[in-house]
Amino acid sequence: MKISLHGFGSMRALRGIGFEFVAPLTVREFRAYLQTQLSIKPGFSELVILLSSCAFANNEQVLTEDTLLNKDQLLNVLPPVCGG
Amino acid sequence: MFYHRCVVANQRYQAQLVLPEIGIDGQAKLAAAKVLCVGCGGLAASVLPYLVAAGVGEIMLLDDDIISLSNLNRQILFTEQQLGEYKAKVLAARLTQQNPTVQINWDLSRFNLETGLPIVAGYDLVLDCSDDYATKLAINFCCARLAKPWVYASVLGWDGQVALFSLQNREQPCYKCWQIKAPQATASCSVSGVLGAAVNIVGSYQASLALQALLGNFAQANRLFIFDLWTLEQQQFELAKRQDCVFHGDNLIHEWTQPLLNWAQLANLANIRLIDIRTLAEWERGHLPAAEHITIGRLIAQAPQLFTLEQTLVIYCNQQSLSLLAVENLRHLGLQAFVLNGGYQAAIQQIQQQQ
Ligand SMILES: [Zn+2]
Repeated sequence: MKISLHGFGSMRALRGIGFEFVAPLTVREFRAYLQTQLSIKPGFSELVILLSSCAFANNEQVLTEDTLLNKDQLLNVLPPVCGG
Repeated sequence: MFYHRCVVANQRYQAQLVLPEIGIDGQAKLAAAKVLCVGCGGLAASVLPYLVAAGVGEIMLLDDDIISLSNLNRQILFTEQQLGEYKAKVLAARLTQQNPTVQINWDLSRFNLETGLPIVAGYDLVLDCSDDYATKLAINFCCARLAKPWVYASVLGWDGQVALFSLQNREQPCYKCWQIKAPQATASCSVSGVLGAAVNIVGSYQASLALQALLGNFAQANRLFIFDLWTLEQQQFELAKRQDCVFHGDNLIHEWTQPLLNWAQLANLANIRLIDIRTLAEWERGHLPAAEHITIGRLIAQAPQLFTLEQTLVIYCNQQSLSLLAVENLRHLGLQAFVLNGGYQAAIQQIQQQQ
């Protein structure tokens, strides 16, 4: 199963990044996995922190932390935005 | 005179009266509507002229900030001559000029959990034109409590987000269902910058959603609209209620009740655990009666093992900044946690005064 990423805004750098998994995992587990993977990549340290308050969405809806990712899919990464 | 006013009104709103979604009935709904706008910065400058132009009956502007030069790249209704003046006051005057038939009020009150409920109760809809997470949460809390719709909007850099939360019943999602964790400081305009054009597009969507809600149309509610003005992408996502979101229960406890308690209030609490999170050396030099010592690292990492939902946790450090951080984390886990107001030093003073 392949999960590909499409980041918006401050998470734009994640576009095109993808990961292969052999077993299904929840959004919560995927977030933790992604943070671990990015933390060893140079230049991604700020994104690792931001990721903890990002939401993940498929192309239709924002996913809850318990949603099971069990097929090839694109995940949109929606960063926190708090200005006006 | 009445006939004259009707003719003038018909001329002013002619272009929207012919819209089948508005018409005479819709215009009457707009004229009867009362809207609260929290924040008078860039978003307000974009959304309010459209609501005023459309003939919304009454609008209250809340903001205690003054106009500064660094605001002008996006807060496009203000001028250099108005630097130092109150945003709410200047905006009210400007909007009244635009359409004198709309009742525009302004106030310098800060909107928060304590002040918010009685204010929101008097309005049909709340516009979130604030620029910080705490205010957005306070709006969400008050609107969820009172079942009032609100239009969330946020802008940062080239990006914008907007959503209408209908909150007509407890099954509908709220802001906190989706924005689970507090955004970091980098998610604010003062840190990461903001493009005026991004504010404007979000403001236009916010105005459309607000007008739709006032007309009674919630077809676009509970969807998150996202814009990236750099790549010119836009997308929308359905939002769902999170089952464990604290905003929907009968027991809207912990998370957004006032987190500060004074030493004297502790006597009235049952099942209390008073926790000192200062360093071990500070603890050994002296601590409050009946307190226990737990380092902040252990407190956050082992909270589920250390505490139960029935306990009332009161946390103190030297002042209160570290305890606020600890309490935020504990409340995120659903625990009833409070900060001892003023920390160890203030409590010691209160104890000495009592003696
Ligand atoms: Zn909720």
